[in-house]
Amino acid sequence: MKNAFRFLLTLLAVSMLNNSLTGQTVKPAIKVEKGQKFEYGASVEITSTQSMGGQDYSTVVYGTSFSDAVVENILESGEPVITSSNRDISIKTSIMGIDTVISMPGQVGPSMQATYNLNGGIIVKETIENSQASPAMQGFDNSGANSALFVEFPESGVTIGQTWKIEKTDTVSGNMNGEMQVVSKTSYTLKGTEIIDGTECYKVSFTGEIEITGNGNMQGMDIFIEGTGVNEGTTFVKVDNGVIYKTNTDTEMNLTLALTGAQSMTMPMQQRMKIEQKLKL
Amino acid sequence: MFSQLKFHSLLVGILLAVSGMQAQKNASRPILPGEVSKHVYTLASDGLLGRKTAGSGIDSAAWYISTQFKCYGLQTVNGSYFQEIGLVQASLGDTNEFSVITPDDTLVLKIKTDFVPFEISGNMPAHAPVVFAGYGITAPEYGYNDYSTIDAQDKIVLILHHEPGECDSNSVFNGARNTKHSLVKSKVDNAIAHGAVGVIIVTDPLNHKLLNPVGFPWPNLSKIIPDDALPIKLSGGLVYDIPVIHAGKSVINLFFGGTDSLLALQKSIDNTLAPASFAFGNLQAKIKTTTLRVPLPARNVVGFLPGKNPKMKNELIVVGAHYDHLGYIKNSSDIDSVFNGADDNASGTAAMLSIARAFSENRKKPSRSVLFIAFTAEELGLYGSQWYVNNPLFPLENTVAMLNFDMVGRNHPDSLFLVGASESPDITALIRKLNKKNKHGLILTDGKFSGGSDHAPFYNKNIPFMFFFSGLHADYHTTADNPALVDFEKVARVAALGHSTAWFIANDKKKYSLNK
Repeated sequence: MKNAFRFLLTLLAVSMLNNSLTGQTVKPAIKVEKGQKFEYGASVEITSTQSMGGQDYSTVVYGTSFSDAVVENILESGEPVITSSNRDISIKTSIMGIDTVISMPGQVGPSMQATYNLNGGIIVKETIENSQASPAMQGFDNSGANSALFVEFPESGVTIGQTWKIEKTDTVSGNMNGEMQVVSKTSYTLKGTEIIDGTECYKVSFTGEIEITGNGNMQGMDIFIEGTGVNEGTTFVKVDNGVIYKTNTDTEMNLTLALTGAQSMTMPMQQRMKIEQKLKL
Repeated sequence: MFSQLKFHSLLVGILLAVSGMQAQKNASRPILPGEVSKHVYTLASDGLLGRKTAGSGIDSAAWYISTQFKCYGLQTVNGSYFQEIGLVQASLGDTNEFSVITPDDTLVLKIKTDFVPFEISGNMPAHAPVVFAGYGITAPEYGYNDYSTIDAQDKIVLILHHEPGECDSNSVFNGARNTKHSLVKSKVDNAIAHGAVGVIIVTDPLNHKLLNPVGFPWPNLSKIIPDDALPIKLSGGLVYDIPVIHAGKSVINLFFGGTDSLLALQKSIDNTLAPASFAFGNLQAKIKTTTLRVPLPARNVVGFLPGKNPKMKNELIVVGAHYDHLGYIKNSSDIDSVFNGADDNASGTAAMLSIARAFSENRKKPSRSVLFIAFTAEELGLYGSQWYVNNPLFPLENTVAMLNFDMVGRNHPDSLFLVGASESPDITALIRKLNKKNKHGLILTDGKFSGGSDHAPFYNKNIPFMFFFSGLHADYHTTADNPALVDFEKVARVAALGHSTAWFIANDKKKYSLNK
């Protein structure tokens, strides 16, 4: 049971990674072409602390993953249709000095296809089943992967120093016959432009609040997830095409995981996540 | 001469026959697959509803096991085949109040948004002046004491969560790794040691952005978490008399005038490691929390075989296996909704019962006493065995060994893990010798200590042990763990090896070693 639960937490961590990126999306002048492919690498460090009976139990997870975004089509209106997928996830956990490495080679979970408006916002998205995805992860929803490509800017554009807010609700399904709803409220501020690794980028800082609720069932147990969090970070958006070049995010979450059925458990947990995502040029 | 020889031959023949009859009476019937399959099919039947602790079905299993003990002629302990264990389910009661009293006003704070009781909070009300006690830490090994400049006697202490330099790799408090002083438990113990009558903990703002109160995620404060998710625990666990609450940003604002003031205090403490504690003058707090602990029925099943050797009968060997499992899926439309737990752990229970039967049938009684135990609540966290070692029926100092059988009927027909081989080398060597000598034919693999079964509490009490285990499989903790998939021949062979081992130890004067 403990192994199964650890796997669930891993899924949660991956989905958290994706969803923390969800809150940063959209930028107007999007210039991508059909067939263009964008490859991102991401690293994440998650420290989870469970508090029970006045005691704390900590787990540190280090993860790396890659995601690919392929421009499938450009609609007549100029809106791009992009398919995104995650692959080659590697997770190293450290519990009480014992390290465990989980590698998920190849595509992890199904692909997601989304049509974006010219501000970077998602108009519509759908899951694309993919037989190449790892069978263990077939039910895992990578919807967050799509929105890592753009920051959503206001239609009217922003000036340096200006702040704008994006509220969104994403639903992430997992392989536990349920779904998790992530509500994020993010404030973005355009800080200016910077040259990063020789690439001219808009620098956008952000702070956000996250609320998570979810449920599902696995091995005869009902599973519930509830939590609140805050995040902050900086994202750099390429001036030439509006695609995110690099994002650093710090997130802190207070989560509760609960089980009923064959086993009963209420587990308060604090998670601190540091995520860095970067486009391969 | 011939007659004499004939007479002698006859005499020798009679003596051998009598001796042989005696030997036959001393021996017990071998442990065979049919015997263990009967136990497994009974315990893992759908009618027992998955033997969930405190659920319906497990009582029938307990009755079945106790009936077997009785049939074998095993003795009761303290007049019963059952050892009741104290299990409780904690919940939050209706009365949970926190108010701050100023000379001019009483500010009533709201549960969930302003404060949440920790699960260890007690029910004794507190009404007292409030003192700020930094991190609430007294750590002489680091030359640090938040209480050195304040009097906390009969006060409510307001303290920061965690510890100085929490994220600083150069912190004297073990760098970025938290020490025991960061634990809520340690802080409350220390507050009580300094005479505090209540504890308010606020999240430290320097290293944490989320300042909302969490305490314990009580289901009745949640939108989605159902009441039956509340964990079941052993009674007598950590619960204080005094109230212990987690307070949020509104409380920080009330006492410090804003997060920035508290942040400045925290930075000062972290930078100087000197106390910044003080009394809040004319501010008082009134706290009342109500945490309930509802008792749940649960019992170990015990059968006792007294030793015959007057010098050794006070020494004891424990032969145990847990008989509980996971229950069943409620409101399921599936045909198979019962977690039968045939391998986990009807198989181990069957092995234990067969060993008990073999011991009982043998007219030759062991020198040391043997206690057979079917543990409850293993799946909830080894509670049955933990309760036993905390409330032993016989002195633990006289318990020479514990043999645990958990999941012994699956995977390769000959494979068996000896989990605890490096911790209990003498018992391991004995088992290997007996496996060879008695031709049990099992392929034994040494396994390193794992705390996942009922031997662990005995190990923690320094009792040599062995965990007989045939390994995990795809049906583990699923409704597919059914009797039809159990290898009864294997279970019988493991039980026979367990019997040989227990019998040898029970007749041996040797003290077995334990490496920790």
